[in-house]
Parts: sequence; C-alpha cells; structure tokens
Amino acid sequence: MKMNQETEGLRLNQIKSFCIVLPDSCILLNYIFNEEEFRPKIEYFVGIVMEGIPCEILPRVNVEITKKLVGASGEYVGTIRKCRDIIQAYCTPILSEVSVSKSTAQHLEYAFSRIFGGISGRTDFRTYGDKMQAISRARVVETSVLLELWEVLNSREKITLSAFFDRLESKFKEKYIEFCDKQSLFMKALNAKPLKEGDIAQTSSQLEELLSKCVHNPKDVGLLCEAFGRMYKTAKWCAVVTIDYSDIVKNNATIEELTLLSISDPLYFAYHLDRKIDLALNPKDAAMKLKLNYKEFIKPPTLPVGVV
Amino acid sequence: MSLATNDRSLDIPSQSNAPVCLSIYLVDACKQGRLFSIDTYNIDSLNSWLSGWSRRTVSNIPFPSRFQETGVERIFRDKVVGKLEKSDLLNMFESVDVDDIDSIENLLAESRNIVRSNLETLENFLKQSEFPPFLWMEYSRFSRVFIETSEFMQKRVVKWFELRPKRISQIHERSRQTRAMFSTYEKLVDDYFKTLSNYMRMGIFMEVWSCNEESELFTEKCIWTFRNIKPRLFEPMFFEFHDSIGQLRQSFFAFSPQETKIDFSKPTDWAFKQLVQMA
Repeated sequence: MKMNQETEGLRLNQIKSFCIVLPDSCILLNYIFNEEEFRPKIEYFVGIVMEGIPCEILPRVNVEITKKLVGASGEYVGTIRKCRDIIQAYCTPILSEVSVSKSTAQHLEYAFSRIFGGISGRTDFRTYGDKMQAISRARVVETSVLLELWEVLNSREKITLSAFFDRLESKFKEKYIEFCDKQSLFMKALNAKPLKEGDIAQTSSQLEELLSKCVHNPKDVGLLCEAFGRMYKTAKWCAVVTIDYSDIVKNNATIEELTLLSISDPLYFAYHLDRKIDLALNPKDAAMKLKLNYKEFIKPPTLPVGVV
Repeated sequence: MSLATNDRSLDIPSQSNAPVCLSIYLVDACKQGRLFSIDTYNIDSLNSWLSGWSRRTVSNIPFPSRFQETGVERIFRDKVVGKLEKSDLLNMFESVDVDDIDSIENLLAESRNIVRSNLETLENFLKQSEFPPFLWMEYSRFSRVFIETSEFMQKRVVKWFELRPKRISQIHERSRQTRAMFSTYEKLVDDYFKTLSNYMRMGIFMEVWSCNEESELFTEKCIWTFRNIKPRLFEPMFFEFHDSIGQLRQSFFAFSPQETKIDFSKPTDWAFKQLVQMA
C-alpha cells in the first residue's frame, strides 16, 4: 500500500455513494439510554453518519425494539397490578380509601415476597436462568416502587394507595412515550430509513445454515440474513454496526469471508467501508470475482400465478 | 364499541372517527389545492371523498370469517356519516365561510377536542386487565401526537387561509400558490394521513374481533375484548400503527426541533430502562 493512501482520510463521498450503514438495536438503545460506557462510540457513529452516509434500519431491528417496549410495559404493569391485587385481597377498606404511610412498606414487602414466591414455584420456565431473570425483573419493579414510596413519604404528600399505584403506571407510560420520541429523533438525526420486507431480497435456508456454523444466536443469524438480502438487493456495500461483541463482532472476519458483509464496532465501520471502496466493485461483481456464489443465498422471486 | 360505565354506554370509536375523518378531509383538500373552493365545504363532496377513504382504510384488515370486507366498509362509512349528520360538526362544516378565518379554526379545534375527549375515555377503558398494557400506552401516545400535529397543521392552514382570494379571478391562482407552499409539508401530511388511517384500522380490527354479527358493528352492543384476538393477526396491525406514529414524529421534528434528553435517574424511569434492556 502506498504511503499517500495510508495518510488519506476516509473517502466519505464515495462511502456515501456506494455504501449503506445498518445499525443494530443496541446502537439505538445506547443512543436513547445514553450509557456512559458506550457514549463516545455512539457519538462518533452518529457524528460520522450525519455527514450523509445512508443509514437504514432493518425490519428485525425495528421489531426487536418494539418487542422490548411491549415486554417491559407488560412486566412493569403486570407486577404492579399483582402487587395491588395481593394487598387489596387482605386489606379491608378499598385501596382508594387507604392513605400511603410508612406501613405501606410492610404491605409492599409482603406482596413482593408473594410475587417472588410465585415465580420460584413455577415449573414452566425453560431454564433455571430464565427463572432467575424473571425474579430479577420483579426485583427491578420492587426497587422502583419502594423508592417512589419513600419519595412520597419524604414529600409528606397525601395520596391514597390506589392513586399511588395509578401514578406509577402513568409515569411508566410517560417514559414509554419519551422513549419512542427519542427513537424518532435518532432516526431524524441520521436521516435513517426504516426498511420493509419488500426492501430486502429474501435469503435461502442455505445462508442461514452457513451463518449458524459461526453465529450461535438465531436472532443474530436472522439479522445477518436481512443485511445480506439488503446488500444484494441494492448492490451497495453494507455494514452492520453493533456493540454485540459476544457473537457477531467476534466472528466478523468469517462472516465477511462467507458473505462480503461487513460487521463492525461503531469506531471501525467507516474504515471497513472505505476498504470496500478499494475493490472498485459493487458487492455482486466482487462476489463473482471472488467466486462466491451469492445467488445460492438468495431465494428466487416467486412468479405471479399465470406467468410462465 | 361500547364502554359500559355505570350503566351508561358510550359509542366511542364512531364518535371519534367522524371528527378524525373531517380533519383529514380538510388537510387533503388543502393538498389538492381546493382549500378556497366553496364546493369543499359541502356534504356531497365529503361523502364522495369518504367512499374512497373508507375503502382504502378497511382493505387488508384481517377479519374473522363471519365478516366480509365490503359489508364492514359499508357499515363503517354509514356510521361515520350518520354520526357526522347528528353532530354539531356538520353544521360548523357547512357553515364555513371562506371569508371568515374563525369559522374554519373553530371547526378544526372542535374536531380535535372531540377526539381528545374520546381518546381519554378509550385509554381508561383499555387499562382493564384483559388488555395488554402497551395498548393503552400506545393510544395515549397517539392522542398526544395527534393533538400536537393537528395544532401545528391548524396554524399552517390558518396561514394559508390568510391567502384566501379576494376576487373570483384569484381563486385558481391562490389555490395553486397554497399547493406550492404546502409541498414543504407534504411528507408530514402524508405521514399524518397514514397514522390516522392506521388508528382507524386498529379500531376496525378491534371492533370486528369483538363483535359477533354485522348488526353489532360500531354500535353500543359491541364491547371491545381482547379474548378472541389472535396474536399473529394483531401483531402486524399494532406494529404498523406503532411505526406510523414514529414516522409521523420523525417528520414532525423536522419542523419542531426537540432535544429529548431523557432522564432515567428517577425510580420509575430507571425501572423502565432496566426492563427494556432486560427484555
């Protein structure tokens, strides 16, 4: 490699023309939650994509984030209401006539102990790990409820137990709405395009089997198949950007060898795409040159009925 | 749909469908360059527009085998028209004077207020334990987004209304000018239409899966229930609704920049973050 090539900056104009960046759900979530550990990486990623690099959100990424919201809301409200029902079952006046006081802590302690006991006694968990995770989630709810209780008591606010529980649900809803807005702001900042199924070439089970040999999480395999399908539909170099080091970043060299798909940490993706520019070929032509039969990995389109 | 509340039934979705339809109709009229046309404020024009709209809205909703798309579409349209004809909105609509800005502002504001009030009641209804929590949260989100976007659009409509023609010869030119100015907001308007359409589609979906026969559809006899709903059919409908609101927000933020720094330090906020990350 010549010295002047090494000292050149990234060829952003060419990256903008010939490449697409596909952030994983963890990138969006870390942007929204502003986690300190990854903040510099996410800021760098956002900054460089805002220079005009096409950014697209794969359907699976969108579905995954929505399902997380759905799961979290179900968990929180479900646990709050179980707590409420347990307390109401033995409390003589209805909760709308019981004021929040320091003895509320005793009621909550009893209710949550029943909830944890209920989870521990269940036999329908697939693994012990799943059971522990269910208990951890319930503990998160317990922690937040008790802290909210102490805030109410410290402020000397007069509120019924019923209104207290309603307020907790309402606060959670506010965060749900704020989260969704922040997600939209991320999309706007990056001018990100949410993809539909029709935007992606359908991939074959062969690709799935091939990727499963090095990537063990089926969700990650699905994500890579979608990214591959997008790359070959658009004939533009695609980089899946993620901070999931456990599986797909760890195996990025193998994945690239098999599919030409780039998998990168946010700090490296632009460099990897810049290297693709060196090939001076689009992914399909590069695959042919490297004797990679990418057509095997794409399902042939089904013809409409009556077309021969 | 009926919300049996202390023996009083409230026919909510149909009541909010009429003002929602009216809002979309007016913005669409603006998009078509017909905002200053007297014919726009005519029940026949509205009915004609509604036929096309209701057909598009009802298409591809998964129905139980006891219902047909054409039947549901006809009933839906008839109910919307029926509600409109019985409400004060129709009088306000037909009384719009193209020389009086207040008449159209009042119409838009009244539509919005009716929808807001109905959505609050719907949200409370959906908090019952048989409905998943994300459903009432999503409707609450929709309500907020609808109100904010509608208020924003109203200000734009009022601005364009100020360009109303002073002479008959100006009608054609002024409407073209409005259409050109409108093109800046075209994406926002398209996303607004899509979101409102998906709101109605969700409502129709809930209705058909809660009712037993056509005669119950969009009446107080049909009480929404989640018991009969198949997750594999509900999920795409809900995701479409959820995503369209997100897309609308993305378009809206282009005109109303916001820096949403979410604070996750408070207890419930912290719980939200933990549970999303653990999900």
